[in-house]
Parts: sequence; structure tokens; C-alpha cells
Amino acid sequence: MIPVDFSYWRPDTAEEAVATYQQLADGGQHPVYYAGGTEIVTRSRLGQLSCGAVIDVKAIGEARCLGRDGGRWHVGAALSLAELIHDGSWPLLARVAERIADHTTRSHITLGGNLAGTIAYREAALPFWLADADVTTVGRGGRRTARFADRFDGALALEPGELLLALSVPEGVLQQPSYAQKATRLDYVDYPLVTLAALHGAEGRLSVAWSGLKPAPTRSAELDAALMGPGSAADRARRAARHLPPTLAQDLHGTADYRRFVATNMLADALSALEAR
Amino acid sequence: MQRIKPGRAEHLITVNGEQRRVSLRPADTLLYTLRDELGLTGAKPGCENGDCGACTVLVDDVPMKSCLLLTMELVDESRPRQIETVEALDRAAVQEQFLRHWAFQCGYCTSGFLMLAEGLCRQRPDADASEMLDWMRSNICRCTSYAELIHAVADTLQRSAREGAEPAHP
Repeated sequence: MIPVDFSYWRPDTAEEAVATYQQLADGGQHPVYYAGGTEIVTRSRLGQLSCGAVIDVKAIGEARCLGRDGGRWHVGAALSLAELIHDGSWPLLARVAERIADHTTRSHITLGGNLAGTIAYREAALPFWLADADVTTVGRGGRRTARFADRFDGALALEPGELLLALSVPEGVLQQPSYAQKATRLDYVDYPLVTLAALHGAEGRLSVAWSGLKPAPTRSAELDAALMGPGSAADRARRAARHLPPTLAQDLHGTADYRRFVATNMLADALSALEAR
Repeated sequence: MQRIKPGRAEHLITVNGEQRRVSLRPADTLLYTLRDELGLTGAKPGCENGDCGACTVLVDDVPMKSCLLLTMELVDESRPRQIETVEALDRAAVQEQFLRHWAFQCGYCTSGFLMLAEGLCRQRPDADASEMLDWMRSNICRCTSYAELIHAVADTLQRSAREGAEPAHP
């Protein structure tokens, strides 16, 4: 049971949501945007979050868009992970998403919540980070579409009150060879020890992004370059692993050394799988 | 735009096929609306953190954890949402198989598992073993009746597939 109360708002447009946020914030109401609610409900119950208003963005049509237009595949931030997996248009996104939380909870968690929430792992960001993704937000200054990579560096840089509305990737990315693997330490359904997502780009370039290592998502251009040199998959994985972050997370899920060991083997698995195609 | 002030007010939700008037705060979760307002105690408070699944109900045939839903999300006159709790099941096939396989010990998690399994049978009646396991991992049984639970759900799916494949008798 959530001990404190708040007001509940359900706007029909993104602009209405942003204006409502501003009005409530100016009035000292500490509003939050609400979609899947998994973090807001659980943290409110535990007293870790105290908001005076929730703005439910699920009635905003653009936040639930899904489909192709103008050579790009568009996906709304208020779609649940289960809806994205069911759609299946982008196999890499579906494979990453189907290892986040459990089957039922994936019907609650939204893409936007996974990307912009406080839980650091943000595994759904990995495919968008690797692709030439765009992100559309609405804030005080109006709408803004930018390269996802320019606004994401382990966390999405959002201004206070800026609403994450939708993302898009070039249609061609959907069919590019890809690979994803997640290792957990305590149980199958768990936060990642290490999650890897890999995408074989149009020019034969392989790029990799990680979650769990830091634990926020991370990637390295030097590591990607080292994957392309000569040698067996295992040799290149070992060489590339030298470019993993020097300091890795060390926690209940695993030691830094163990994470490095698992990540190196994941790289070899990814190379073998992608090159066997 | 819908706007609801803090504090209690009456709203309509649809539970087990009936429209019900409930008094609720915007911060109330569906779990406590069902239990405290409607007396439907089949949905159990367990972890209340979305981990255990003891509170699972169906919303428009999709299993959802009622501890993670604000009841207010389901108050929508333009799109009434159908909430189903374990009290709506009446000797459903999955209940019969839970009995046959003794798929419970203390029983606390049973209603959540039943609603999860009922959702699986409705949504994915042709699910293979791997998909069934993926669904079943959503809930936790601290008595560890997992083998019996899996047998019960697998049997429900198999029987449903057989009955679906057989021609109907006149």
C-alpha cells in the first residue's frame, strides 16, 4: 500500500503533459511522468519517492506509436516491453527485452521507463545505442529530435519535465545481423551480471554495447575496432576485452574479475555466432 | 484530460464481469482495491514489489501484478478494462489440473499461479515448453512446488490442444 496520496492526471497529448508538469512543478507538487509504474509504485510504497502528482502518459497516441514511416521504424516510449517483443519487428530489441524482468512484469514495464528510470541497467537502451537511432522528446522548448547517441551515455540526458516520447531507427537496421546474451548470477530472472548486445552494421562493422559491467550501459569504440582485426574469435575477443572499462562493478552479482571473464567469453560467443551466418 | 484530486472518491471499475463502484485514492493499488473495497481476497499481498506474482490478476486477459497497478489506471470510461480475479474461475481446466497434480502446498501463491496459467491458456494455447517456462518464471512458490505446477500447466495446455484438434461430438 502506498502511504502517501497524490493527484492523478491523464493528458491526451504530449504538449498537454508537459504543460501539466510545468504547472504542477511550479506549484511545488513534485510531479512525475507515469507509464508502467513499476518503479514509481514500488519506490512510493517504500518511502523512497514522494511525488505530489503522477502524470499518466499512456493515453498519448504518439507515445504508443509502432510502425514504419519515412524509411524509419518508430516506437513509442509508452509501449510495454511485452508489446515490443510480441511485435518482433526488430529481433535485437526483442531478444534484449525478453530477458528484462519476468514475463508478467514485461507487460508493465515500458520502453520509456526502462530508458529513463532510475534503475541503472537500462538494457533496452543497448539496441538503440548501437543503431543510428533518433530520440524525440517534448520539453519546455517544444519538440526535439536528436541522435540517441548524442543524448545517451549510460543514462538519458533529460531536462526536468522533458518527456521522452518516441524513438526511431532506420528500417534497414531491423534486418541487420545481431546478437544478444544476458548472464545472471542468482537466478534466471534477475538484474544482469553482464548483458551484451551486438549489431553487425551495413559496412560490416561490428559494434557492441553492455549493461551490468558498470552497471549502467557502456560501450567503447576502441573495443569495437579491436573486434575487426585478424585471428580467431577467441583471440579477437581477448584482444578486444583489453578495452573493457578498467573498473568494473563488484557486487552481490559478481566480482569485477568474474565480470571481465564472462564478458570476454560473451564477446567470443558473439563473434562466433555472427560470423557463422 | 482526466484529472483526479488526492483523497477518496467513488469510481467505476469492471471486475469479474460486473461494474463495481469503489471508493479509492489515486495512490491505491489494484491489489488493495480488490481486497479491501471488494472483499476479493484471492489476490494475495506477497512481496508487493512485483517479484512474487501472488497478486496476479487478468486485465483484458493479460496477467498483471495487481501490486504494481494503480486502480486509477483502469478507470477509463472511454476504454473500460476487464479485470478478472481467481474468484471468477469456476472449475476451469487449469484448476482441475492443479488439483490432479497437487500443484500447491501451503496454497498462498496458488491463486496467482492460477491466474498466470489461465492467462497463458487464453493467450498462448499452443505454447511450447520453453514458452510455458518463460511465463511460469513470473511467479514464485516458496514451498517450491514447481515440478507439480509445471506438470499441471503442461497438462492443461496438452488437453486443451487435444480437445481443440478433435472434432466436436454432435
